[in-house]
Formats: sequence, structure tokens, C-alpha cells
Amino acid sequence: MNDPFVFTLLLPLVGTMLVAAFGSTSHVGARITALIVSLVTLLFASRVTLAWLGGHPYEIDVPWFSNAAIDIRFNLGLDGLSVWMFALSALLTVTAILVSWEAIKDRAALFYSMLLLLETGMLGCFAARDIILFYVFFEFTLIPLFFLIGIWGSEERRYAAIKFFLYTLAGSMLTFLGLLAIVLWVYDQTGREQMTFSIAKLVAALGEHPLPLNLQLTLFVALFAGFAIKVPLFPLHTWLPLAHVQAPTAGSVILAGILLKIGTYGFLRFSLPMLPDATVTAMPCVLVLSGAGIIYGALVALAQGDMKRLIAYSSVSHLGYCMLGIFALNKLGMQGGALQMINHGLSTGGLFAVIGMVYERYHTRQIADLGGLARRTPMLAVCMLLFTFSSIGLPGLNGFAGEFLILTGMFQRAWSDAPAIYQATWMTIAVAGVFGVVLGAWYMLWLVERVFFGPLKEPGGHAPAPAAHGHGSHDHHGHAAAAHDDHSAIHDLNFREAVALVPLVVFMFWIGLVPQTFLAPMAPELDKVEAIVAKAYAKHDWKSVAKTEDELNHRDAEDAEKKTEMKIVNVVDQLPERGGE
Amino acid sequence: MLEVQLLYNYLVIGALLFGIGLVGLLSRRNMLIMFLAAEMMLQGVSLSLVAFGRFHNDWGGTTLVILILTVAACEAAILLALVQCLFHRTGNLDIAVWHDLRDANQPKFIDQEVPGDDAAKPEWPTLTPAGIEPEVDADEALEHRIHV
Amino acid sequence: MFETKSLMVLIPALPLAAAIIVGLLGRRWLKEYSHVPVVLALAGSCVFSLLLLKDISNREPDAKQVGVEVTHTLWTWAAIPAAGVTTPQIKATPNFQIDITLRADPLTCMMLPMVTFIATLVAIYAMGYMHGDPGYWRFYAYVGLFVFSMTMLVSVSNFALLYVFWEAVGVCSYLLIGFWFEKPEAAAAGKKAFLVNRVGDFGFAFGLFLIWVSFGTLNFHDAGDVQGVLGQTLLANPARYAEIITGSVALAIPLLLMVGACGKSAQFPLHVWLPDAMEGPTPVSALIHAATMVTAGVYMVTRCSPLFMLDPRAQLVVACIGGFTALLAGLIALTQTDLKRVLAYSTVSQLGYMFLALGTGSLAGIVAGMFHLFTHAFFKALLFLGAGSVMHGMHHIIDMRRFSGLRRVMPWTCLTFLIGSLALAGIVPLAGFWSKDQVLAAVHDRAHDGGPFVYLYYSAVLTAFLTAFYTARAFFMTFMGPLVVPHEVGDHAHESPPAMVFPLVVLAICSIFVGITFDHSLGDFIVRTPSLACTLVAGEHGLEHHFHWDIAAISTVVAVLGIAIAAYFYLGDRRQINALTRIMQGVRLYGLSNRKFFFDEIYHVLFVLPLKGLAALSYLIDRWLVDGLVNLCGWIPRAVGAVLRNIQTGVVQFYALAMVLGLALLIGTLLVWKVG
Repeated sequence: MNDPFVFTLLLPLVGTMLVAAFGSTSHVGARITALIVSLVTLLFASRVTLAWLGGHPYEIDVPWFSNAAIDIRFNLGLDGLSVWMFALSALLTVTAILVSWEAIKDRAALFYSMLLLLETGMLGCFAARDIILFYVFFEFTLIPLFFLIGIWGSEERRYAAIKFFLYTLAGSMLTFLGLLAIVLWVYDQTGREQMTFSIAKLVAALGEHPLPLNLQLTLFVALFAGFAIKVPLFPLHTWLPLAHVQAPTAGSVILAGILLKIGTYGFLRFSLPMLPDATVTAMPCVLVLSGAGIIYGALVALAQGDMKRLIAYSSVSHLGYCMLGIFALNKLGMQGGALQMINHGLSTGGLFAVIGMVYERYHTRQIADLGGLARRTPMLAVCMLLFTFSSIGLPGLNGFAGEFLILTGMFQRAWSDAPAIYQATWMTIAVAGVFGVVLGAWYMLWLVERVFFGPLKEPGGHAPAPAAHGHGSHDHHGHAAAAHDDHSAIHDLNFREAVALVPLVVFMFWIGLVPQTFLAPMAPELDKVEAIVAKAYAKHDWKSVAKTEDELNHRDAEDAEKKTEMKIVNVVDQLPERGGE
Repeated sequence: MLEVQLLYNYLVIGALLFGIGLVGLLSRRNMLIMFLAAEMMLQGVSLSLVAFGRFHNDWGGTTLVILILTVAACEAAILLALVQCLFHRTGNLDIAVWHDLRDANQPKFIDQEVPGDDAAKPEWPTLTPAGIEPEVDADEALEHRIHV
Repeated sequence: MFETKSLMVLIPALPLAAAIIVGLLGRRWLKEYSHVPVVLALAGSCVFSLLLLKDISNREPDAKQVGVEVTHTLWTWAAIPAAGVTTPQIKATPNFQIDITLRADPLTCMMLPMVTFIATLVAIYAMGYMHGDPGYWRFYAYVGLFVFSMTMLVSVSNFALLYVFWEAVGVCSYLLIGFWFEKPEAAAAGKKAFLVNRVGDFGFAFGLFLIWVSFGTLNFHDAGDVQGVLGQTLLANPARYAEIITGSVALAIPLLLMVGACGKSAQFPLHVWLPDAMEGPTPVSALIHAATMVTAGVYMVTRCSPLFMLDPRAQLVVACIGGFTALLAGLIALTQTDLKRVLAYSTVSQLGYMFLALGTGSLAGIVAGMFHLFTHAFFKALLFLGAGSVMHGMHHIIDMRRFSGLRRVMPWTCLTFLIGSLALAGIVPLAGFWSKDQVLAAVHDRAHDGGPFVYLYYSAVLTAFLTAFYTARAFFMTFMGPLVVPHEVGDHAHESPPAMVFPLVVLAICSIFVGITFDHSLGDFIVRTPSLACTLVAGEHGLEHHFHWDIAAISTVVAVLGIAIAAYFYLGDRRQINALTRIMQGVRLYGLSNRKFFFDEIYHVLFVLPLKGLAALSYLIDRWLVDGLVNLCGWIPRAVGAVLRNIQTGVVQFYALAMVLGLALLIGTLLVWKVG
């Protein structure tokens, strides 16, 4: 098998063992091995990506658990939805390894193993074309991150890790049930010959045999539970700031950069094409939540004194834009949302990396402890400024391209295509979206002003970077001996850090200047999804929905879970009757 | 004799075996005895299975029983090894000595006071030393045998 | 020699290239030579702009065209073809396509030479002013970037890109205001400028979205079968606009665009950032915050004038905002003691004048506004550079109360500043006179019909008086009277180096002559801009060049009066002004003006504090309510577990008994169920 696809997925897995082998004695061996593995993986991933872009896609399709009755396949392939996230996963892993270079010396082999394991999970998740395979990788990403946060995190790492794990797992269980129910429905409707788990086949089959609206709604809620928590959509976001703040830098970079996008990716991949009627029905709700999330995330970010927490809440706000675009359910919005997934990965990943670098130097994340760092670390400040500009949607950088498309799409939806009862609400949401941009500029520029501008202010009592433990051990603020006030060892961006950040900056400019390069490959796949949803939107009866919606609002998640299970039980109950014939 | 009558006989014996075993398992505290009681329950079930196999005139019951026997053998080996280990830890076969798996913060189970070993040091059965038979006082040996 | 299209590309490309070169090489290698690439590039841009101007002015519109325009598409920024599904509920959505397209028309060609010319002079000036600054290279990189953004801003051909460079100049402004970032005030001022502009952009973005949903395109120009918003097809038949957008949308679009313009051009109520922006280096104040960037709003409104023509109410709003801002800023400028602040408020005031002219909605008014923009750029840049020269000589002290009589030590600065002041005050025959005359004439024409324009006319005349007064006040306080220099300077007060004096002289000459030279020709040239030419198509008769003797007389009298009163108060021993100040303080008017009518404080209380409170409240809600609910969900299993853990005794036989009982229960239930 000379398929680079196999290499891309296997390499990090093999690398895990290599790192364990070479890194058992010293952290140097571990990190070098990890870097080499991740670079080679990046090479292969870019080859797969370029081949796809060039029109000669690689694909793996082997039976995995496949017999006459059931057909679970080890089916990997790229399409417009996944191609950029796939490539970004490989890229950000390299960044993550580079930013952990000095910070992680404690149990380094395990750390880098976990990082590579995480990479396998992410790559697999985006490449999977089979529901079971997707779910396996989806859950697979949880475990390494759980350990990354739990072992190498800051003070409250255990609490954060457990909360992150349980919260996400609780949601994704429901998602799995929902997905299985869809599989069973299709199996039931298509003559019960072979149970297919292939996403493409399911979407095609559901086009012919759509689910009834009530069942769709139930399943939508089930899928929503997993994906919305992952995104995270307001008000299911509270695990995120905690996880971000406590995670080591690499964990934050990967979490913000890739893992959150699995949620939005899940919506685009499953909810929208498979449950179009429910999507349209739930759309007003989701739009309200997204709009609320944008403003709310920005407001809470304004009130933060901790850099990482601030960026974490800004993520809530930015992912609100993603969801807003996707659930505007038109081409502009969905393409913008899909683009924003990449953008947020680059800019917020970069922001976390920069803040990690500041933390490595000063061992504080408190904004109040720092000031005027632009004087001491000018290049770091430049990078921070660039990522900030990207984050607040400055034209010419990537953030603008995404936000502009999203807001245009949302505006078009609210203005031209909205049903009368929702027009006012949706216009308000669009306004909220634009207002969020103003707030975004406020908190980000405030952060930059306080930390990087103004007179130089460095936390007292911190000897520069002993970094035996990358975490936690520095809670003795200020009252240490003044002899330690010497910050002369604080250096500007070094070569390794520059190498970690430069690719992000390059892509930020690229997307900002010629977003078409990135939009065009995504368009065909998104258009398909959009066509399905648009059909549902067109035939949707908005008057009756108002009622259903009320019901939906009153129904809580537990109830929904029960119903999902019952539905599955119903379908399962029917199996032997006909099977026996 | 009617096939059904025959089945009932076996089932009654099986049920008796199971019941005695159950009572033994619940009422005895010696690990070995408990193990034997559990085995007895197992045999009760096995007997019933064989009887059903005979009744239905197929090999299903017997097959299962052979499987059970195999598993039981393995299980017995493991269990005896565990009992051995536990015994070496405390010198006691009482199951009530072990309740380390109770939930945190739960009070320790206090049995009614076991009459303490007043013997200064316990005597453990030992194997007869290998080699030439030693000189034994005849009277003493006679007395010893009375115990047996 | 050069093709039109390559000229259009070269003009912005040169400053960008210079900025990149300086940005990459400046810190390590170029250092004190960082100005070389930028000055050369700006000069080159300026030459090319003039070539382009010549090229465009030689063109005649052909039969099919309204006005003159050339467009040049570079690449496609984003293209999203419309949805295939069209149903009664879903209106046919247009294709979304945004190209990087440059355009050249008279309006652009008027702006480009002005921007590049002043930028070149400012870059030369900064060689002296910024000499020895550790961020010398950074300064030039930013300036290059700014000129690139500004030239792009005036040459782009769709609203999306206009927005892009609208924000891009804002960022350059942010970077340059916060140039001395170690000074907290500078960093805060940069942030404030950016945020206030963002609020304006908020409106602009909305206008843009409304345009997109109404017109189905964001292009100015026609491209293929897509009719641009300001394209030939629509412009040739302005009545079509009224068919496309009607009712409240016709009012909303110009008003939202005006919000954007208010932000960028520092009009009430978003004027608060400009005075703070004076924290930046003075050349920057001259280039960005006087001559070029702040006029972007005026440029945009002019560019979109067909949209503003749609609704007289929109015009009235523009005029009112302009007139009110002009007066307000004039009043504030009266009592400022910081020379740069006086000039900053004067800029706000003059920008208000321009909007007032645009708000008249007549062709003459728009031309007058643009003409005032043009002349203002020269004399205001001159004044700022003069102020910078004073700062340079006074070791960065700019409080007018601490020095006077500087004409003795800085003769060139004094002379050029005098010329600039007279031009600003509107004295014949300097530049300001001609443009201000046109503005007043345009407003006066509208005032014939009565209504609000009558008041606006009087307020404009009052503003002219105030302008003359505070300008003269600044000049007298700085340059006249006995020689006083701050003690920090000692006897080192000196005239600025030639690199700084040369631009002053050039600008002074320009300030004298641009008014009289271009009084008519500029108007004749820019009316050939398609978006302005359409008004001619619509039936409005062309520009009439008659000199308004009455208005000229009034404005001259008013200006002379203002200067005379300033001379009465500020030449001599200043006893009268002190008395007047005390009286004004008594009725609390002085403080009102001196404290800028408390706008900063009001905004702080009205917007900043509530938002911060809301932010804190949201955080509390997040921690205790939202997260609390989540934790509650986590707490339920634990509570249940706390009950159940009691039976986890660890006694094996208890477990065995439980199993047996459970089994018995199960079987019992089953039996009862089956039997029952």
C-alpha cells in the first residue's frame, strides 16, 4: 500500500510508539522524534490535500466490519468540507509541538505521544466517510486531550479535564444514538438488505426517503447535543474557558484550532444534509443562540483579567459567527461559516500560541501583571498584533473574509428570504452579529494595549523560565526576593517560535487576500448541502412551525434522549419480524 | 417411566443442589467452603441442563455443561490461587476479614468478637518431612491416631 | 509612456513595496536610511498620479458613457454563484462576486495626486522630525502602508473593497497614533480611534449589506451583465434608482453610509477620537488626520452621491451634521491651549463644512465640498507641519501658554504658518477663501427656499468667524508677543532643519495658489466623474461659474473681523482676554468649551460604563447561572451516589445476598407478570 492517506493516518500512530521509544530517557529525544513525525505527516497530508485539489483524490475503502447484513467500512476520503480542516490539523500539530518545545519537559515522551495520538484522531475524524469510523475518531480525540489537560495543565487541571471529558462525552453519546437511528431508518426504508453506514449513501437514501418531521426533530436534538457542545454554542460553552485556561499551550492551540471545528463540521456533514426539515425548523432557535453567543461571548471576554480566558470567550463569540453563517442556510453564509472554521483555527490558534510564549517567559497569564511587552519582545508583539487583527476581522487578513461572507449571508437571509414572522428577529440577529465585531475590536485591542503597549511592566519575582515544570508551580506572586527581578534573560521571538508562527501568518494573509483559493474547492460540496436545505426551506410551512417550535423549546434534553431511544427500540423491534420472513 | 417424570426428578435434584449451595454460600464464611458451595450451585445448574438435553434429545445441554466444566476448572484454579494469596496475607480464611472494596468513608464491618486465638502461636499443618521415617514412640503414635 | 492600467496599479503598488521593504529590512539594515525607499516610492507614485490625471483629463466621454472612467480588474477576491433553487419564497439571489478592481475617474484622479503629493512632502518632513527616533524604520513602514491603503481607498471600484481599505487606513491610523506605544495616552488614543471608527464602520457595513440586498451587487461599475450600483447603466438613467430602492431603504442606505463617514471624518457624534489622535507624531497628524484619511468620508459621500440624491431627508441630515459639527468644533477650538488640539478641532470643523456643502445635494455643493477638501488638505497639512516644527523647536512642548514670540527664532515656520492661518481663515486670495466661498454659496443657494438651510447658512457664517478667530489666536499666541520659550528648551530654540522647512515652503506656496488656480477647473474636471455627471443627465444644469460678490464680501468681512478681535485680545498684554475668560468661567461657558462639551465624559457614562457593567454582569451570569446549571447536572449523580454508597460495605456476603434477593425479585416479578 503506497497510499499516502494510509501514511498520513498511520504515521502519527506509529510516531506515538517511536516517541515513547526514543523519548524514554530524555525529553530531547521525544520532542525531536515528535517533530520529525509531525513534519513528515504534514508532508503526506499536504500531498493528499494537493492531490485532492488537483482532481486526483486518494481514497481508502476497505471493508472493516462487513457482511451480508451490515456494512461498516474503513472508508477514508476528502471532500470540500473536510479538505482544509484536514490540512490544518496536520499544520497545527507541528505548531503545537513547536510551542511545547521548551515548556514541556516533564514526562515529555508521554506528552508528545498524546499529541500525535490526537493528530491521528483529528485527521481521521475529518477524513472518515463512514459513520462508525467518524464516531470512533470523534471520541478518539477526547482521550489524548483529556490527558494533555489533566497531566500538563495548570492549577485546576483535573477539574477542567474531567469537566471537558464528561460534558463532551455526554453530548456525543446522544449524537451516536441519533446517528444510529438514522442508519436504522435508512435500513428500514431501503428494503433491509444491508445496513449501510456510509455517509454519502445515507444522505442519498435520505433524499429519497426523508424522515418524518417529528422524528427528524428528535434526531436533530440528539445530534445537536453532541455537536453544539463541541462547537460550543451558547449556553453549552462553559467547559471551554475552563479547558482552555487549564490546558497547556499545545492543548489550547489544538483545541481552539481543530477540535471545536469538529462540531461545526458535524453540523455541515450530518445535521444539515441528513435532517434538512428539522434543520429548517430549528433554524430560528439556532440563529438566536448563535447571535446571543456572539454578543455574550464578547461581553464576557470584556470582563476577563486572564489572557487565556479572554481568548477562550472570544472563541465562543467567533464560533457563534460560524454557526450563524452555517444556519443562515444560504450559500454566502455557509461558505463564510466554512471559511471561518479555518480562520478561527489560524487566528485563535496563533493567539493561544503567542500567549503561551508570553506565559513561558513570565509565568503569568494575568493582564494586570504585564505591560509594554512590545518594548522587550517586539517581534512577538508584531505577531500578537497580526493575530489580533485577524481575530477582529480586519480586511486583508482572513477573519474579514469569513465574517464578511457570514454577515452578508445572514443579512440576505434576514432581509430577502425570511418568513414574515421571523424577519424582525433575524434582522436583530444580523445587527447583533455586526455589533459583535465592534465589541470584538474592543476587548482584543484592550488586551493588546494593556499587555503589549504602555510602559514596561513585568511581574516581579519570577526568575526567567526555569520551566522544569511547565505548569502550575508559580503561585508565589510578587513577594519573592527582589533579586529575581532581573528579566534580562527574556528574549524576543526565537527561531523555533518564529517557525511555529510564520505558516499561520502566511495562511492568514493568503485567505485574506485571495479567499477564492479556499472557497472554490469547498463550493461544490457546500452547494450540495445548500441545495438539500434550500429545498426543505422552500417547502417549509412557517406558520405551523411556530407551534412546533414552542413544543421544542419546552422539551428538555432528557426527554429528547428518551424519545430517541424509544424510536430506536421501535425500529429494532421491527427487525426480527421481517427478518424472519 | 415418562420422560417428563424423569426430567422432574433430575430437576428436583438439581434444584436441591442449587439451593443447598446457595444456603452454603450465604451462610458460611470460610472461603473454601463458599467456593465449594458455589461449585455445588453450578453443578445443580449443570445437572438441570443435562436433564433438559436428555429431555429434548439433543446435545445442546451437554455441550453447555462441558463448556461450564471447562470454565469452572479455570475459575477454580484462579480462585484457589487467590484464596491462597489471601490466606498468606492474614493467615485466615474468613471472608469477613476482607472488605477493602467498600466505598470510601464507609465504616469498617465489625463482626461480633471472634474468640481470640488463645494459643500463643498458631500451629499450621505441615507436610511430613521426606526421608527415612523417624523413630516414633508407639504410645504417642497411638494417641495421635485416635485424633484421626 | 505608461498605459493607464499599469499606472493605476503602480500608484498603490509603489508605496506598498516600499512599506514591505522597510518593514522587512528596516530594523536590521536600513535603520536611519529607512526613509529612502518610502520617499522615492511616494515621489514615484505622485508622478504617476499626475500622469494618470493627465491621461484621464484628456479623455472625453463617448456617446454611451456618462462621465469618464477606466476600470482594471486584477483578481477575483471571492465568487459565490447564486443558488440554483428559486421558488416563490426564495427570491432569485444574485451571484456574489467581488473582484479586486481598480478604477480611475476624475474624482479618483483628483484625490490621487493630492494624497501622494502631500504624503511625499510629509515623508520628506519626517526625515527631519523623526530623526533619531528608535522607531524610525517603523514610522516609514507605516506611512508607506498608509499611502498604499489611501490610494487604494480612492481607486477601488466596489463597496466591499472600499470597506476593506476604509478599515485598512483605520489600522494605519491606529498604528501611527500609537506609534509611541510606551506612552499610555498614545496607546489609549490609538485604541479609541480604532473603536470609534469601528462604530462608524458598523453603520457602513450595514449600508453595504443593504446595498447588497437591494442592488444585488457591490460593484460601482458595470461588469458584464451585472449593473453596478454606480455603473453607467444606472447613472445614465438616475430615475432607475428610485425603482430599485424606495421608501425607508432609500433613506436608510445614505444614512448608514453617513454613519461610516461620520466615524472616519470625525463628525458629530463620532468626532471624539480625532483630538486624541494628536498623540501620534505630528507628520502623521498632518498626513492622516488633516489632509487625507479624515477626508475619506467626504470622498465616500461624494462618490455615492447618486444614493444621497434619492432622499432629500438624507441630504438634510448630512448638511445638519456637517453644519452642527463645524460650529461645535469651532466653539471647542476657541479655548484649547494645545496648538495641535486647536488644529485638530479646526479640522473637524472644516470637515463639517465639507459635509455641509455635500448636504446641499446640488452639484455646486458637491463640487464645493470636494474643492474645500482639496484646498484644505494643503493649508491644514501646512499648519500641522508648522505646529510640528514648533514642537520640534520646543522639545515636544505644544502648550501655547508656555511659549510666545517664536517669530524671532523660527522665521520660516512663522511665515508659512501665517500663510496657512490666513488660508484657513479665508482671506483673499489664499486657497481657503475660494473654497469656503463656494461652500457658502452652495448653502446660500439652498437657503433661498427657506427651511433649515437658512439656519445652516448663518451657522456656517458664524463658523467662518470662529475659524478666523481661533486661527489668529493660535498664531498670535505662538509667534507674536515677547519671546518666551519653555525652560526645558533653554537657549536651544532654533529653526527646524531644511528637510522640514522645505515642505513648509512648498505647501505655503500651494496654499496661496491652489485656490485661485483651480477655482473653476477643478469643478469642471470632477463633474465628469460618472456618479456626479449623472446629475447633469438628470436635468440639473451644469456648473455656473459666477463669482458671488455678496457672499465673498460677507465671508471676508467676517474673517477680518475674527482676526481683528483676536488681535485685540491676544496682541498686547492680554488683560481683556483674561477678564473675558473669567466672565465666561462665571457663566460656565468657558469650561464647556475647554472641556469639549464633556463629550468624552458623556460617552463614558452612556456607553462605556453600561457596557462594562453588562460585561461584568454577563461574567457573573456565566459563572454562576450557566455554569451553575451545568454543575447542577454534574451534582445530581453525586447526590444519588451519596445515598447509594452506604450499601457499598465491602462485605462479600452482603453482595451475594443482594444478588440473590435481586434475582428472587426479578423471578418473582416475572412470575407474577406472566401469571397475572
